[in-house]
Parts: sequence; structure tokens; C-alpha cells
Amino acid sequence: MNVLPSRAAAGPAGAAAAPDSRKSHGLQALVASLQEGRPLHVLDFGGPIQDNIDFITDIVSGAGHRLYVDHLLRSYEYFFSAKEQEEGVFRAGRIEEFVASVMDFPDQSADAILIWDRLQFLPPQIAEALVARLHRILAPDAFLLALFRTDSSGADRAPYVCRILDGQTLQMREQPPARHIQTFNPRTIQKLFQSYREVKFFVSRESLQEVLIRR
Amino acid sequence: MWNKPKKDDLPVRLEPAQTAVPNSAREAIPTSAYPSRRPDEAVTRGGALIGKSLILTGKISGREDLVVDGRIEGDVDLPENKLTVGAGGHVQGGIRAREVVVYGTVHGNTEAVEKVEIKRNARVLGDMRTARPVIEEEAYFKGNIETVRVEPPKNAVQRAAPEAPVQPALPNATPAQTEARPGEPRKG
Repeated sequence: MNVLPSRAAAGPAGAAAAPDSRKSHGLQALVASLQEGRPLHVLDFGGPIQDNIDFITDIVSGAGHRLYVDHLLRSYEYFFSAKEQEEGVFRAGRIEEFVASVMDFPDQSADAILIWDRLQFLPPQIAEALVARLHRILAPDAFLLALFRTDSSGADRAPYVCRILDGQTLQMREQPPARHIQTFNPRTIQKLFQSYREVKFFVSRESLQEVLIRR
Repeated sequence: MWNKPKKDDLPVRLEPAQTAVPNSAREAIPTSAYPSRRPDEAVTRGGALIGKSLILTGKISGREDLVVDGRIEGDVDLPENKLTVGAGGHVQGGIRAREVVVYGTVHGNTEAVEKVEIKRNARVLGDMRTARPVIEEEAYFKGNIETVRVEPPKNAVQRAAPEAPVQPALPNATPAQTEARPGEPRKG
């Protein structure tokens, strides 16, 4: 298991809400996989972040990858009724409809996927369905980058906004509102991605696990 | 000569500079102040305005800036100009323009030679091809982003000839324009 170094550059002292910059080995590996000298297709389900758009679509060489952007949690909230979200009960076919609406891509067409911490904020049955779909649309040997918080306090948490500062550095800050968060540990994460070829963990000291999954 | 009218007798003629916001002043206007513009601002700037109660069905093409506060169901093709979709505006169709700024809603693919700006609280579903994509974090955007160097339309250099007929842009588009045509089905 690889362990991430501690915070590379924390925010100013006393500014608890300041964004946190850290080195990301998972991002580094994913970015390295994109250096093929041809435009690739990258999917980012964290929502539109200008730094990420600039980095992916005009990546150093100026080759310019095609970036698909969606805010998975907002799409979830648009799609499902408040009652469905509150009760976590979905009538037959609803989950399949949702998955098709947010991940309508040909099989093996994505060269990299950034899902960040979004899976952890979705009901387990939806997260599982999305992971199965991601397996279909990800190209062989391509990477998926996910984040999981492993603390099991049960308290609601705000999702992270993850900003790519460079090919190996992420800046992260929590973006309210806080939402219900599913608890994951390395074993349940392994199980979630069991159909994938490789699951690699990078752990930070704040109980945040960076997981790099290879199709 | 006695027939020559005195300077004071000449009919008052409003020059564009007297009514339009000068370019330098416009640059200084913070973008956040834009939605609170007067309804006739587009007209005074020499552009066109589709008011909030208007619903247009069909294709729009031309050579002037356009502000949409109403609803358009069809493609918008302004290859040399700027399209602004106001906070209450809605475009259901492909967009091609020099520059696109969205405060409202767009359902369709967008292509802009210079820039596409999606402001906070805007809602855009569709692919985007532009030299400079700018999306504020609070905006809802779902689609592909492709940064491209789109060649400006060849007839852009002929802007000095206002009498030139407005051509239907998409059918007569240059090869570069055709390649980057909005409404192109998304592969994904």
C-alpha cells in the first residue's frame, strides 16, 4: 500500500476553511496515462472547475483532451424526487434510467475518469450501478480516480471540490451543504471495484483515501 | 450662403457614441452587474434583444449581437457576433457565435470562436467547442468541452461592407465552420 505524504502545503495558520493543497500520487499516475500525444476523452464527475478544465483541455503540450463534465450529485438531485432521495427507495428501472442519463457513453470510450468523492454521497445501490457502468465505458488499462473518507463518525459531510493545480497537486476544500455520507473501508472499496483489474490505495493522515482503479 | 442652415438649425442626430456605452466603459463594467442591465441596453449597443415574453421557433442568423431574455427554440447562428442568454433566457438548440455568455439556460451544443462563458446559476446541457471555455463553479454544466482553435469565418474581414446580404450561415459555411458545426451529435 502506498501512503501519501502529509499535507504538502496547508493553508494559512488559523484559517480552518482554507483550501488544502496536497500531492496526489493517484492524480500523478492518471495524468501520466494521458501523455499519449493524441487527444483523449476524460470524464470528470466533480462538476465544472475552471482549473481542471484548463488543465485537461489544454494539457501542457496544448494537445487538448476532450473533457466531459458533470456534477454527479447535482444530477442525482435533479433526477430523483425529494421523497426518493429521503427514503432511498427507488422503483424498478429508476436507477437504470439515472445511470443511463448520466453515463451515456459507448463501451470502452473513456481514457480516464475522475469521480472524486462523489460515490460516497450516493445511496449504495446507485453507487454500485454507477461503478458497473464505469467499468463498461472505461477503456482497457485506463484509470479511474476516486476519493473515500474512512472516518465512520456517521456525521454528514460536505463533498470536496478538487482543483487540479498541476499534474501532481490537488487543492481540496469542502463545499457545503453537508450531505449524508456512506461509510467505506478498504475492504468495502475493494468489493465495490472487484470487477476491475487493479485497485491501489494511497492514504493521507486525515482518513482520506485516494484510490486509483485500473480497468 | 443664405440658404445654408445655421449650425444650431441642423436636426439633432444622435450618433452611436452618444447612446451606446463606449467600449472602454463597457470593459469596466463588472460582469456581476450585467444581469441588472436596462432592457433596452442591447438595442442601444447596436445589438438585438429578444424580450422576456417572446418565444421564437426556428433558426436565427445574422450579423449583430443578440441578447436573449425570452425563449428560442431553434439554432442561433451569429458567427461574427456575441450572444448573451440572459438570466431568464432559454435557448433550445445549437449555438454558433463569436462569443457566448450564458446567465440562463441552454439546451444544445455551443461553438464560439473566441469564448464561451457560463455564469453562476446558469444551466447548460450540451457540448462546447471554443478557444476559451470559462465556467463558474456554481453553474450547472453537463457536456463535453473541447478547446479548439476555430478559424474565424472568412467573411469576418468583410464586416466593412454592411450592404452585403446576410447569408444563411450553416449551409454556406466554410469547411472549418462545417467541421465545427453546432448540433453535431455527441459521441458520448
